[in-house]
Amino acid sequence: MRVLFYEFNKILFKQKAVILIILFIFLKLVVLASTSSYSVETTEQNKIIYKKYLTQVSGKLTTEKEDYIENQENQINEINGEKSDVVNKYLNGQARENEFVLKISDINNKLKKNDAFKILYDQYEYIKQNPKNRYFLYTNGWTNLLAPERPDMVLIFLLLIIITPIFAYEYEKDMVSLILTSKKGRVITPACKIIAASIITIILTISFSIIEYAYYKIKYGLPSGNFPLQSIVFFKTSTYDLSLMQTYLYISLIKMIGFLLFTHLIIFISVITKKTVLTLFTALSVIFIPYFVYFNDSVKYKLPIPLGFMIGNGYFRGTESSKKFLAISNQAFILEFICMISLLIIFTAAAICIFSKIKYNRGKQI
Amino acid sequence: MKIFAYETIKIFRKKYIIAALLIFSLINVYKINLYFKTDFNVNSRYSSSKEYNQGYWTAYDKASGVITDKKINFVINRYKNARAVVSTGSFSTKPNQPNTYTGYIFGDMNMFKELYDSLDYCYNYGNRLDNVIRKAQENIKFYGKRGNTYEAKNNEKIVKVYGGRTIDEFYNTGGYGEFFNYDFSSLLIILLLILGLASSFSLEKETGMNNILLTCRYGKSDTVFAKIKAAALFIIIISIYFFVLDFVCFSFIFRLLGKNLPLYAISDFQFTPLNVKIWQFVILSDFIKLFGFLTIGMIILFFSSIFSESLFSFVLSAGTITACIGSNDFLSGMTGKIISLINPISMLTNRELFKKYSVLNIFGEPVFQFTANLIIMLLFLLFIIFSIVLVNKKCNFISRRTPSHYLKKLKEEILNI
Repeated sequence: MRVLFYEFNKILFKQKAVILIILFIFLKLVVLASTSSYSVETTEQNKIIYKKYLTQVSGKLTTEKEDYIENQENQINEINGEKSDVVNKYLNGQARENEFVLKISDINNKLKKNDAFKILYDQYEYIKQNPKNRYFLYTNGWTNLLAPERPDMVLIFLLLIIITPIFAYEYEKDMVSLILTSKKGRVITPACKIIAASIITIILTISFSIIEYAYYKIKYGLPSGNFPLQSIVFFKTSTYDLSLMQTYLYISLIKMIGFLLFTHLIIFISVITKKTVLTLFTALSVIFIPYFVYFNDSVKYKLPIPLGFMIGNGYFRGTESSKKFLAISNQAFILEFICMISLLIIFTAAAICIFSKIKYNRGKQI
Repeated sequence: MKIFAYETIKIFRKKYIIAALLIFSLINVYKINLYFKTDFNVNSRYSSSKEYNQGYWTAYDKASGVITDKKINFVINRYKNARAVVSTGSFSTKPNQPNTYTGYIFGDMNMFKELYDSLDYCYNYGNRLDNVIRKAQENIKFYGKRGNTYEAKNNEKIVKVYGGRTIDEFYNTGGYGEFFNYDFSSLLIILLLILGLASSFSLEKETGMNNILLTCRYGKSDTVFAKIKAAALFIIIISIYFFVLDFVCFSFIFRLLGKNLPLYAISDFQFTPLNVKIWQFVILSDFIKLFGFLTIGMIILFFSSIFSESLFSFVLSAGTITACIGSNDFLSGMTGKIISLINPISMLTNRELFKKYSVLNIFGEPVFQFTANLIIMLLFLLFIIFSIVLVNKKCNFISRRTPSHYLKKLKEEILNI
């Protein structure tokens, strides 16, 4: 227990990880603020009117709601007809300019809700294709939270910077021979190092998920978490019977396992290469290269590397032929899950073995 | 010269760099293969329908080369005939029909439509541009009368750039189109640069070598310059290696045809302000890419020289480059334009700079956006090199020797007294 405590102390305070964590959380907020690519500009511009519409129709599509939407559509069509009438009259010289300006500004005021209605109508057409599991809701928040198809770069760099030195520095500063001569140095110390690294990773992944959730909750709002997942276009062909909130929790859990494996991968590489730069390079390449090789492909979710789990949301998507995305079956997911867990165990065991066996090599050298 | 040679050897002696280079070459070859094998593209030797492909190339052989009436009539007549048969609805769907190129009459219709479209693009290119030039000439008169000299000059430039453009020959330039859009090898080069250069200054500090270097005769600015030169050589070798590898792989998988056609023969580049041939653009584009890689390499060296630990220089370099890639992809509009001026990634995707006619108003003169980009990037590169030299002159800029370290030393000395 004391060794674990010392390791925590070393990582967090001696290596100044606390400062880095605070810095990276700030960076995460900056990145969140600058790259919300899934928000639809027009929805945000017409948010107030669109939300008014949603209070009427929110939830499952019913015949009353359908009537309401069609009613609204007729109204807008009428106003549009009125507008073209007024314009035609003016152009034909049947109306005076003052009269025309008054009328047209009145009509334009009424037509302000046109853009907002268009968004609602698009959503209505999307829901009508499968009204069973597609509900009306304000989607911007949830889409931003659940749909980004890339791993969290900020967290990747933070983990690289915190986890790499745990073992690599011991090798580079030649502390290994000292540690191995101590009483608890052979197994307990590396085990405690790995446990400390894992706990830090878990806490960081959870807090980053919470930060994302809180940010989108404040910026866009995350209403109706109990609505089905398919209400969001990104998951339109998903075969899972899950609510949005459940999906978020599952994705967070999957991400946690992915990042945990990433941490263990870094430790494993650093024990093998014994060099900081090489560890960073290999860990980064293992994530970056497959990500760009299989950029739009679902293959990246089936590889025996943490990348798929670090992104997470691909496992919940359905097949989309237009985007060349093949759904990942339940069996494939379970296989990937087993692969992740076994890799986790293998990396841990291998890291401890390699670390403790170094003694004999050193002995030969002497 | 000797120090430069030693520094170069130091970079290339790291076995892992050679290993990474080999692995990355294989990944690059795999990516080019995989990407284009799955994509349906008539230029690809692996397109989904073999008969269609064969038919296309047989017909293409008859239609390619200098554009003549005979060739145009051949394509148009074939297309019209096939369409006529298809529109009657009484066509057979059996394979290997006689008097067809693709084996199916429907396939023939689609294939000749494709040929017709690309032939039409080349043949009518000059006519379409005539409208643009006429409009520009009108604008020159209009703005001349109103006294708007900048717009008048701008339109004169348009007339000068686009005037007299014709495409006399027809070749399938799809292969070059794909080649210019290929970016993956840039990522591999960047990763290799980080691996090779992130520790070049910081390792000296980590191992305490910088103190020894300072006592040597050539250990100060000579070593710094030698390191910068060696890094530049490393960047040039790695980049050229991948440029050649990309070209060789592409020429295996695609038919890279029409290298002597002007660049605007590729439909993506129809409004390019450059009047160069395709092969010239291949060299120009690679040259600008190399320039971008040099800038990236120098940024890495800069981070390496301000930190005393490779860990931070590596993560900061990789993080900065990731941010640059992100901003190049996501930012658009005016902010994107301004940031792209000092974003070295915009040099790697330089095709975007040459696709459109885009000018900036600089002191009343219309200057091409890419000229401005290149000049500012050159200044940025020089600035970074200058910073590297400056930081290394103050050798322990951010090292472990914090003020508290010196205070501690002082305390010890006082106590000793």
